[in-house]
Amino acid sequence: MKTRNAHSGKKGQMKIQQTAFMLIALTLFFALVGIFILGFSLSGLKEKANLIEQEKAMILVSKLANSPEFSCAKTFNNKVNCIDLDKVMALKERIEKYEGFWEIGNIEIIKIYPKQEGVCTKENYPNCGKIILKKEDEGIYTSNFVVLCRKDFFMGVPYDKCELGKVMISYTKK
Amino acid sequence: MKGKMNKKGQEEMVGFALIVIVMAIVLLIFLSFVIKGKSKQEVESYEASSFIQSVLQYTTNCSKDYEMNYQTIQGVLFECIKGEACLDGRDSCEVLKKEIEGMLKSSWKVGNESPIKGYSFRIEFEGEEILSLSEGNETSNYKGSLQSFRKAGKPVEIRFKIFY
Repeated sequence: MKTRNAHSGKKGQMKIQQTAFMLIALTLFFALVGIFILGFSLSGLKEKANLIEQEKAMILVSKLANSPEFSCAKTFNNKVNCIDLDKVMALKERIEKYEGFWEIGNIEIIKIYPKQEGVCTKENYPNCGKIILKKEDEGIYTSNFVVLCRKDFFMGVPYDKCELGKVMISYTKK
Repeated sequence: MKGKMNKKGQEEMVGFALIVIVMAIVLLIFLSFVIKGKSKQEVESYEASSFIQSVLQYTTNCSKDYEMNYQTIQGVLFECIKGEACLDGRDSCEVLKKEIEGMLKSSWKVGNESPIKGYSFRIEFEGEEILSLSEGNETSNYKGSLQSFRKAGKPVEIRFKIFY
C-alpha cells in the first residue's frame, strides 16, 4: 500500500513537473513573440519618422523651384518648375542671411543636359555644372527635375537660355 | 486499467495538439503583421512628371523666323507637327528626337546594376505617333506620367514611363 502511494506520489510529481515545464515554455514563447512584435512596431515608428522626413524633403524639393527665391517669375514668362540661375547665383552670395530658413542640410543645383563640369563660382559662371547653395552635412538626398534658365547673349543681344537640371536637397535620417 | 491509461494518453495528445494550434495561430498573426508592414511601398510619379515639364521648356538651337528666336522643345514639337524646318534648314523632327534622346540618356541611367531597368517616351498628335524612344526592358513596376495639351484644338499627348 505504502509502495503504491509512493509510486503514485512520484507520478504526480512528474505530472506537476511536466505542467510546470510546459507553462515555462509557453510563457517564454509568448514573451519572445511579444518582444518581436514590440521590436518590430518600434522599428516601424523609426521607419515612419524617416518616411515623414523623406516626404517633407520631397514636398520641399518639388516646391523649391516655385518659391520666390528660385522661381523664374516674369523674367522668364512665368515658367513653372523653373529656376532662375542668375537669381540663384545672387542668392549664393548672401546665403548666410537664410540661416535656418529651409530647415534642411544641403541644397544643390546640377546641370543635367548639356552636361558641364565644375562647381559654379562668380568667375566661371555660367560655364559650370553645379551650384552648391548650402552644404552643412551629409544626408540622404532627394531630387527633382527642373529647367534652369538664365540670360545668355548672342552678339551682345540677350535671350532666354533654359537647360535641363536637377535640384537636390538632403535630409538627415533619424 | 489499460482503458484508463489510453484515455489519459488521448487527453494529453489533445492538449498537445491544442498547444500546437495556439502556437500556429500566434505565429500566423505575427507573420501577417510582418508581411503587411513590408508591403507598404508607395510609387512616386512626381519625378516623371517634372521631367516632362522641364523637357518641354528646354531651349534648343533651332530658331524660327530670325536668328535669336530659339525654340523650346514644345516649340520644336509644334514645328515638327506642322512639318516645318529650323531656320538653318535642319528637320525640326530630327532636332526634337536628338535633343530628347540626349536628355533621356543624361537623366536616366539604365542597366542591370541600376535601379532603373528601362524607360519609354512617346509623343502622339491626334493619336498618331510623332516620336517614340525607349531603352532597356519593360517590367511590371513603373512610374509614369502623362502630359496632354492642345495644338490648334487637336490633342498632343506625351507619355513617359520609367521601369524598375
